[in-house]
Amino acid sequence: MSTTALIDDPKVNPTFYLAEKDHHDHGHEATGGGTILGFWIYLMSDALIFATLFATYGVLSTNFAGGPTPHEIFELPLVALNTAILLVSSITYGFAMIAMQEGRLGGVRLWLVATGLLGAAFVGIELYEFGNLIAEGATPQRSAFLSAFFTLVATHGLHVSFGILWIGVMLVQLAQRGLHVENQRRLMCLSMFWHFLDVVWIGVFTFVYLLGVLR
Amino acid sequence: MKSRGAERPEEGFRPIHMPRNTGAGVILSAIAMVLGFAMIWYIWWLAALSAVGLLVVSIAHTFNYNRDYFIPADEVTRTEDARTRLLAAGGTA
Repeated sequence: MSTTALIDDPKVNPTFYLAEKDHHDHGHEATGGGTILGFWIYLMSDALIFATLFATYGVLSTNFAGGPTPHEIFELPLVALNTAILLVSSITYGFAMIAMQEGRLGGVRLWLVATGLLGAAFVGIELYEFGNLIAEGATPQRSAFLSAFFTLVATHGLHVSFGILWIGVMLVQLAQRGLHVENQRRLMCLSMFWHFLDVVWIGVFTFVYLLGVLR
Repeated sequence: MKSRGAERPEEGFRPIHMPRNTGAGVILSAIAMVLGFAMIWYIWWLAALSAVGLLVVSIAHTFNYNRDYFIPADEVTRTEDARTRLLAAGGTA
């Protein structure tokens, strides 16, 4: 029975199984595509969470309940610094991916450490900002605006914190196994996660901070 | 399938890519259930413990790199040949 003849004319003689191309080399290569697709689906569902939080913030952003307004509490220089840090951390992650493609393990680890430190600086500054706000009495309980603000920004900050944790785990696994095929796939997923967080932050920076102060 | 003339392939079998058994999913969902219970009843120490447990178990699972295997082509052929003989002998299944 010639399978190729069947494939040629599916209407006359349909096949009922996937005719695979001959690329079985008993490695782990065949597993990569599904993981990347799955990770995209995760990222897009995460994007829906942020879309919901952005919409909530959009609705509540002027409900001050007599409390502080964005103009009074946001410190733009601090936020600009945070934005710069996160953007640079995306570049350093990009350098890590370039090093990965060139097979330089040392470069990957160096740039991952740099990315992780920048991420930690970002979270640190954000916590400092939150601490200041709470000390001034601008707590999440104060107004609907502040509830929505803290929920949106802290959800992003929590994502970055988990990204830093992931970078730490990745560094251990790179030390153990080097640029293993699976590790390369994980670095790719972590890369998408990190850049995704950067994109979300651009949204936060623009719609929460810049528009908040302009209004 | 049958009415459109599907034929049972009898040769040309390839290795089958298989996932290895793992308890990670069941363990994670069990801990997630404990987390849900603890959150509903405000048992904060248990909620924190199970949240940390979820993290630890999922990270530990990522250190398992031996997750898949192949059923060799000749084993597939052997299994399918046995079935072919069974069918030829007038088996129903």
